[in-house]
Amino acid sequence: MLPIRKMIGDGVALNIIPTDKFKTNCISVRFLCPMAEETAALNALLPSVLKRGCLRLPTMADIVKELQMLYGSELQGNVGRFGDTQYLGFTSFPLRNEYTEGMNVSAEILSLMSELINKPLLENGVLKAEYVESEKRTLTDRVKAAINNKTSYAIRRCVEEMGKGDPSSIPDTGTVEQIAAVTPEALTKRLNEIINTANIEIWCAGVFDTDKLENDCVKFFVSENRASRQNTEVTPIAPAEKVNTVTEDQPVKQGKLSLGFTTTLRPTPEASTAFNLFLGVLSSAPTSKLFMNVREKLSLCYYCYAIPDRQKGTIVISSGIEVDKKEVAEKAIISEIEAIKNGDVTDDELEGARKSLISGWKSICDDEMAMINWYSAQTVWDRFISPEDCVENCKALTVSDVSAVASTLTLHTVYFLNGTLKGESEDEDYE
Amino acid sequence: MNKPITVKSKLLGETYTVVTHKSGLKIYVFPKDLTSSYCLIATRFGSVDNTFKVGDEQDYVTVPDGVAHFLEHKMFENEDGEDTFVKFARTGADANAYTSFRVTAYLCSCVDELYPSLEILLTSVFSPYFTEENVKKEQGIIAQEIRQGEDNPSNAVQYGMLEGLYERNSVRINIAGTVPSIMKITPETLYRCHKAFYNPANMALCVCGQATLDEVLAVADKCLHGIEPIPVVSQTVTEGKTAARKRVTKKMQVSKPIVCIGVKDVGISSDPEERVKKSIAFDLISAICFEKSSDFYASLYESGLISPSFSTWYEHTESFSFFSIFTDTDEPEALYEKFEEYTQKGLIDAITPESFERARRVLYSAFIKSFDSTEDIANDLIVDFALEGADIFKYTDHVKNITADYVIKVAKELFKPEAYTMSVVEPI
Repeated sequence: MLPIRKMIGDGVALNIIPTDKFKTNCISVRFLCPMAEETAALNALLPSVLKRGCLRLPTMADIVKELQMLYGSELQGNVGRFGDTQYLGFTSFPLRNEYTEGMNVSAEILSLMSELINKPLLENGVLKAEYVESEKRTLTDRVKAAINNKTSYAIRRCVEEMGKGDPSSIPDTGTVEQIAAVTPEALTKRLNEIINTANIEIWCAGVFDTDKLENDCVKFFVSENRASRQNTEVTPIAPAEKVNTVTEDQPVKQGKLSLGFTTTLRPTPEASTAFNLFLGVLSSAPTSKLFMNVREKLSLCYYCYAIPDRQKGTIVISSGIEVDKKEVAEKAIISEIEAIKNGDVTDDELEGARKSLISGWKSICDDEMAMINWYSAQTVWDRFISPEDCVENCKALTVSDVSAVASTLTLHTVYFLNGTLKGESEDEDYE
Repeated sequence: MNKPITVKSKLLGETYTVVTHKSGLKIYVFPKDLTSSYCLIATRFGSVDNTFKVGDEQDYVTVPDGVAHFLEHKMFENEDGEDTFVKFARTGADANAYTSFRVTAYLCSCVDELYPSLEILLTSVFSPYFTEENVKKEQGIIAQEIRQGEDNPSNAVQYGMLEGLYERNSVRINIAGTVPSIMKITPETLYRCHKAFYNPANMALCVCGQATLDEVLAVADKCLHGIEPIPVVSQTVTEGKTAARKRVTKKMQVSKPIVCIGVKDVGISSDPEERVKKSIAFDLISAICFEKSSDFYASLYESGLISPSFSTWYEHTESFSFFSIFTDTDEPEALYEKFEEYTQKGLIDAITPESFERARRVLYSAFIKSFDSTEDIANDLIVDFALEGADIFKYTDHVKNITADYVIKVAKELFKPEAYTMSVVEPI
């Protein structure tokens, strides 16, 4: 079932995916802004500061208690990126009325989201300083803690190296310095800018009284002062003239290798299916070349997989290896891509990837969040492509389509996190 | 084969059928009108089962740490040289496996070819094929998995907490073992463990989705024959009530200290439904006394002693039981003092009729939501309930009938400072 999309205000879209297969609904409200150094930290702080308290429910405990009474509904604050866009907002999975003795929890949740955004807790006309400072501290800790997870750290570092000077190198949390510079005044100003100028995408999957839902959304999210929408276009990363090599030492046992590639393929509805099939053959299917050859045959690593950014036209291939196997692993991974370029793809590899993708697409309708993620990534296009459309498109693709995708790839950056610790667990002591 | 029993839940509007196959395998068929179906077969063989005897053997034999997990990695490899993942790729199924302290589970989800996929799953799990060469290859892969885990500070602090609580119980040992321990694993070790624990009578299967009992049974008949039931007994160890160590400290590259405070519990009932009831009490204690709506959380968050990474982790099973809190903090000892002070006074006062009702709604809602996914249904039904000897549909009755007095009683018995330990990962 395709979403029903309606513009309910200047730059405000309501998207409804009707389905009665689930015991819960899913509601996600997202504000979209251009990724920019001046606003990244402000945007990243807003959902967590707003969740600390609003006019009616001034403390975090008050809000959580209200959510618990709304049948244990969670209210997630979201911050993320998509192409050169940073989004922020809230998501919740309220129980359907059948399980709540008739209470319309979904309507209550939407109303609560609106309260957090439109009726925040203010002191002297600005967001409460204590909450702002406390969330700045928390976000700073999170930015610093990014180094704890070596896998994601090594991927992120590769992306930064590839996008120097580009919005993609801006962390979606902002930097420690940008966070430190945030004041309650600046954050309050930013909140008002977002309410009035950000593109707003409201996603609702499940069973709804659609008239009431639309009226509520207009009332809650279309402000009187809405002005022109913000630019959310994307500039892909250009291929490198010379491969950029970066090595960083850290006191860990395992080395992390990230190979960053650019592709000249642009994510149109037509091209995206072939791109996915290529990723299946390379990495995501159980028969993939990286899994079967680099892990199973060469026994080089526990994981080796590709992380694509379709909007930015990049693919990072990440793996965890013994530090003295860097050259071997790099060569092995690149040779798998070369093999696909040369059409060296077996029937098992192609059909395995095709079946795996088709199963994945067909099961998207088994999960409301998956449906929302699927369609919300398509709002840059002029129409929606359903998972079923992709299934049909995919059936006709051949090895030469997959090779053609591989031929658009160029190695851009080799990032290596060099582990300097050796051997078994040390530094342990008992009392 | 005994007569199939159909169990209904009026509240959920769901039904499942359970039957014991002639091989001894318990089979659960749970119809669900979603596109993808999910099959899960699991054995009562986890990382804690490292010392056991089979059949009429006199003595217990100890196997290297990490063997259950190692065996899990090897079961998708076949004598015909074709990896099980490749076989699944032909039916379009997505397959995986995992090992916990208590169980090893194999699973696949599929959209189109359910019964052929089920056949591949069952055939793989009951066809061991281990050679010197394929064991050696796997040692390389698992060594990298272990290294990755050892570099993860959250894992390290949690295992540190278990090392702090337990003197002998194998729950204190990393599920995957250590690099030296897995190097001792041989094809013979694996065959012995497979013979002991992969007996259908020690296992359970759930098929959730577009499935019928007759067709599932037809596949089981085809894949499971000629296997005699053999009893297997894991050695049980007795543990004192007090924590083995008060502090366990490790140094790693972290931005600030990470802390896990654990509480050991030795009050474990032999009645599975009693254990479900007590684990619900743990859930309620966590929700009422430690989560974001609690005064404890609010005051510690305000004072900066805990961060949003704060979480609780608790397990209440037949072979071990503990309750723990996890967070990063600049002041581990100050946090420990607050924890001890709160659990000795204040915590019980937090359990009011109002907070109790709110927490119960949260639990009820999470349980209902889990029936939106064939994956959650199959995992919960087999791993949390069937293999523990309990019934998933009785859960809502327990949630309905549990009282605040019972939760208070559990809390009072649980929080004794001599049973506490603190594990800390400090920055290098």
